[in-house]
Amino acid sequence: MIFRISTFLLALAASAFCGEIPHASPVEVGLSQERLDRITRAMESSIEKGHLAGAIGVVARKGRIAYWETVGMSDREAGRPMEDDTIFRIYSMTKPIVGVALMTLYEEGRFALRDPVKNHIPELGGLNVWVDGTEVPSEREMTVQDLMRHTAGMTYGLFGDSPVDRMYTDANVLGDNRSVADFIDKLAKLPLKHQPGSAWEYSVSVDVQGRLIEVLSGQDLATFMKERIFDPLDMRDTAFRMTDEKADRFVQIYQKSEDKKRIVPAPKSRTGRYYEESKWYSGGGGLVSTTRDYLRFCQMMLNGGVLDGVRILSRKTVDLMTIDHIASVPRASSISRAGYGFGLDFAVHIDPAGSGLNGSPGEYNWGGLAGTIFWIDPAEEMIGLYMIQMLPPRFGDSRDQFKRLAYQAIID
Amino acid sequence: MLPTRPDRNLQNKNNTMSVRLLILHFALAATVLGAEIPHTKPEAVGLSKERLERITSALEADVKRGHLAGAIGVVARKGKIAYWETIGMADIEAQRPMQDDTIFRIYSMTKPIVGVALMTLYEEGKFALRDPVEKYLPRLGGLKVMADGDGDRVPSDPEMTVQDLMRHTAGMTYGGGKTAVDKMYGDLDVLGDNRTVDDFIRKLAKIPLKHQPGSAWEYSVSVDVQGRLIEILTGKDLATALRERIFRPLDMRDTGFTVPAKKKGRFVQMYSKTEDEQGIEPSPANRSSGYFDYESRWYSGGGGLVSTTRDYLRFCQMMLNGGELDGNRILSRKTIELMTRDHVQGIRRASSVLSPGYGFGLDFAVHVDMAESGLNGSLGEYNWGGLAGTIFWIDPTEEMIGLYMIQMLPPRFSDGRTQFKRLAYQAIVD
Repeated sequence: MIFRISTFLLALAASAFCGEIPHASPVEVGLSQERLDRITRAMESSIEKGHLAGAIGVVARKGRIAYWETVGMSDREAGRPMEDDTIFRIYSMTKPIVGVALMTLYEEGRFALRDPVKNHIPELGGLNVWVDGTEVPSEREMTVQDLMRHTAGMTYGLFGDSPVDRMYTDANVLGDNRSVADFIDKLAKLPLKHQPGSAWEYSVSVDVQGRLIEVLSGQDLATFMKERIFDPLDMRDTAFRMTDEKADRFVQIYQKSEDKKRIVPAPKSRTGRYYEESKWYSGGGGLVSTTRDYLRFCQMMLNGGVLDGVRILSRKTVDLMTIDHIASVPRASSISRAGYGFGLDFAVHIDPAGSGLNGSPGEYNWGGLAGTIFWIDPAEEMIGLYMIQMLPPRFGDSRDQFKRLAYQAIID
Repeated sequence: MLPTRPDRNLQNKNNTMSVRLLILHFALAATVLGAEIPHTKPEAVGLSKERLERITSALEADVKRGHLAGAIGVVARKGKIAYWETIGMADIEAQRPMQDDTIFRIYSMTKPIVGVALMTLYEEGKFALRDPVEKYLPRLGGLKVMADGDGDRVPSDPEMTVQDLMRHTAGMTYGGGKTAVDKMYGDLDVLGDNRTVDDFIRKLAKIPLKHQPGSAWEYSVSVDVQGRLIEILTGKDLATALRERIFRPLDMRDTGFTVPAKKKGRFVQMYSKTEDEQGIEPSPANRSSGYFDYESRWYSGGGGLVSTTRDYLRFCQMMLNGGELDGNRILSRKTIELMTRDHVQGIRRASSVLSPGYGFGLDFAVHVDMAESGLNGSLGEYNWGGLAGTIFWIDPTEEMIGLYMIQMLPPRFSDGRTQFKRLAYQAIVD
């Protein structure tokens, strides 16, 4: 009897801690069922047109899921339908999670945002800046804040065509590494593209944040992320590596056919190292995750840093991450969108007139290379999550359409 | 039937009762007036005990590494003390531990107190913020300006105002820089060897300004000028005026310009880095002197006070309460609002003393940009610190006060002050 009661209590405790985010009928949380159905029709239409294999769309408000539609195929060729628990390559949606993990160390007093990066990663001190064909000394050291708001002066390589971008591509900075430290060694040999703080350019700086986590914690990035984020939030399918037992839940990735009329499976060479046994964990894009797991991450953020009684960050630190940190910084990359500023590893909506989006100032978001997006809107207590797996260039921008349709469903 | 004559015995009984009640009332009133700021469990005011303990670990780490002798950290919210840790030594060599009532040299944390005292006179209609200073201190009228401290001498235009004194835009400096004007501050030893506050003003009147009034923010001796302004407007010396207007009403019983002989055993030792920069050692007495000179009438409004953690917390709580503590009103809420908004927006910063992301009010810095500061704090939070590493801040949004008391001259080993602040903020969980 005692054993039974304690089992029962344990089960209760477990459900309190690992409770799933509950569902609600749309009208209970100020959304219109009829208007949400427009999202379903749009997703189905993309699939009928052959522009997508499948998709999952989720809209949550006030802590409850008001809309979740899973449509189409996860792998057309293998005849596997898209499932609620399909595993996606989330690419750059890795970045906000790494940012949050890093800020747990900020909250332990381990670093300040204005610390020079070289205080913690000496290899990145004293870098030169490429200016018109020559290297000049940097005017100031890049700071941790620069890394988190993409003003460190670095670049990605693959999105640009400047001499420094080519140096990144030639050095294959994000490829063929055995550890995160390997990546830093390559990066330390390259000049910066901009003076630190002078320009916003999307870059490998979140991979540098990954290394910063390793240096400050003494753990490898995968272990740290598991202990600080994935386990506490019960994000059970989120990791840098796939396991064989989950292989048939892994979504096929697609790209446009050569004639640009339909989609075809993307070659393996384009889809990363999810089964590799190295210590190279890309903080800028290496994670796989599920809709459920990422929604839990978003709900933690919307709740001010806590989910099911498990606190990851203080509300004050979430606030700091989600205000605009680049108000006076010129944009040097087309990835920045009109109407948006940038916080710490999140874009932040500052001007609905500038963006033309029926959203809210203060909404923050990011997306991944294969078309996944999320957003978190504190003003409307809303989360949106759109999961597809299709490399660019895609047919149309169904991501923006999804977001507009989610917002038009608000009726309270 | 109603009694027409009250029973005599009953009446006597009632009288005795009334006296007793009266005594009880007085006792209650006394407790209320002299009440200490209460303590509470962190969770009762939206703070996490577990997260607050990170502060203790950080303080202990600094003491263990030999970077600090001792420290006191306090975090209060919603009028109650949720965290108070007193660790390490007040004087390593004399083996005196840091105590809750240890007396610190608070240096520039004197400034906000002097500013509040001055504003009590504003509230009595004695001056306006835009009054020229020369109206009260004629010696400081018609000063010449040497632009950026080295330019040709030109007349000042406009005259500096009381507001300029309080927001550090009067055009003065502290000296210590490399300009001709800075050198004159050093040569005349403006803050040293004075016997009265007026002695200081006489020296200052001989030196040109470094900036045109209102044109640049530069940290300066202008709070010492405010001290003299208080003397002129009250007809009392600064020590007396502060005691009457601030320390007594707020029961700041250990705050003053001197340390009384009987409190010597509570006075913290000052430390500085050893020459090899590996540890700390007692600072020479001449770097922190004057606290036992009971004859002098030279009271530095910019940095002369000693105080305790308890006393300064009471001052902060008065501010957070909108100007009153335990029913004693020092200022109106409207005047506090005026003091704690940004008065230097758009004004060039000619000194790096003001941290990025901060503007300046009247004798307080004000948080205006979290992206610039990189701090997980609140807009509108106001603060200041002292030369020996003490800091306080007051956050109306979170109803929070932080106080960090150490006694170590710069350069220090690391910035334990801002770390303390970040750690206090991450403990907010409501």
